[in-house]
This record gives sequence, structure tokens and C-alpha cells, in this order.
Amino acid sequence: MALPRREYLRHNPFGSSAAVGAVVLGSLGAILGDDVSEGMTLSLHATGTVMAHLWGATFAVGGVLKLYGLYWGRSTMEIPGLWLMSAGYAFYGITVVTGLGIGGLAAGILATVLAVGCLFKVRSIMRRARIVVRQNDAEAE
Amino acid sequence: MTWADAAVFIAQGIVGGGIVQAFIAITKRRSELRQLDRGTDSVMVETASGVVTMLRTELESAKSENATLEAKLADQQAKLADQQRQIHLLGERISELRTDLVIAKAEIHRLQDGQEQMP
Repeated sequence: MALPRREYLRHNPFGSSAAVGAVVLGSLGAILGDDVSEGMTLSLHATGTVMAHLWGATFAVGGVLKLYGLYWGRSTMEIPGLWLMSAGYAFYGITVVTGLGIGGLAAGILATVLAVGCLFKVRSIMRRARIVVRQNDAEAE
Repeated sequence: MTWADAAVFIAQGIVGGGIVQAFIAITKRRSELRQLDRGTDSVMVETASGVVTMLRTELESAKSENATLEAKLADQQAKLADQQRQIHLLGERISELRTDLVIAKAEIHRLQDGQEQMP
């Protein structure tokens, strides 16, 4: 039995928005490569567009996994999604600041904060999982 | 290597680390997370079951209240029918009395007329 999807959105507005942002930005990155961000174009001059495509794909997959895990109640999907999203946001944050300097600070800070938020969410879910495992073990004994 | 190259290198390392962590979560943390999902599902089922029980109780109480109200309504309707019957009877009685009154008045007039003609 699952809650209506609207209920999940009501309880997780920020998580949902961060995941949708990851899917949209990641998809654009996977398609356009480093053209998706000027900061990324400037900072990735050495490794080129391949890294940007890889980042975009990773980021978009992370967003999709997060949304699937959240809306279908599957933390086995949500946790990998959060890790990928966190990595994607961190990568974007670092490259945009590296490429644009002070001009990229706003986007960089926003992306870094979201990356940290994803890590906090991972920590919170894993803590809950450990508590459930402990309770199950205690009941089994 | 400039600081920018170092930053990009770190960023690439972070993406690599994220992918590795995601794989670890899928492979090694799977059983913990599955237990969490099962726990969440069972809590949701319990909650839904509780809601169904509560709704059923409310339905039963509403049904019994409805039955009581219907009995009261039938009682009131019976009383109303009785009162209407009484009103009808009283109407008939008033009509009879009016007729008697008219007859009595006519009789009085007739007697008064008789007395006036006698001397």
C-alpha cells in the first residue's frame, strides 16, 4: 500500500525539487556536454567534454534514482541516487567556481549546499535503517 | 599543475567517489535498506489498517445513530397522525355544535315569536 504521490510531494518538497533539478541539469549536461555551463567550459579545458557528458549522465541517473526511491518507497534506490546527486552537485559547484571565479560563487554555493544536503539525507536514511536492523535483531533474539 | 587543475581533479575524484559509494550502497547496504523499506511498508499497512478500523467503527456508530433517529421519526410521525385525527374529530364536533346552536337559535326565535302573538 502506497501513499498518493501528492502526499510524497507534500512531505518532500525540497528533495523532490533537488532531484528534478538534477535530472534536468544532468540531462542537459549529458546531451550538450560542457556547453551547459560557461564555468564548466572554462574549467574543463583539459579533460574536455567527455567528463561533462559523464557528469551529466551520472547526475541525471542520480536524480531519477532519487525520485524513484522517494516516490515508490525504495531506499535501496534512493541512497545510490543521493550519492550520485551529491557528487553531481559538488562537481558542478567546484567547476563553476573554478571556471568563473567570483562570478560563479552564487551558483557554486547553491550547488555545494545541495550536495551537502544530499549527504545529510543519506546519513539520516542510513541511521534509520540501522535502527530498524537493530530492532529486528532484538526481536529475533 | 595550477590550482584550477587541482580543483577539477578533486571534482572528478568526487564524481568517482560518488559512483563508488552508490555501488557500495547497492551491493553492501542493500539488506539494511531493504529492512528499512519493509519496516516502512508494514508501518504504512498498519496505519492504513488502523484508519480502516476507525472508519468502520464510525460507520457502525453512524448506522446505529441513524436507526435511533429513524425510530424517533416514526414515533413523531405516529404522534402527528394521532394529533391530526384528534383535530379532525374536534372539527367535526365543532361543526355539530354549530348546527345545534343554529337550531337552538331558530327555536328561541320561534318561541319568542309565539309569545308575542299570544296576548
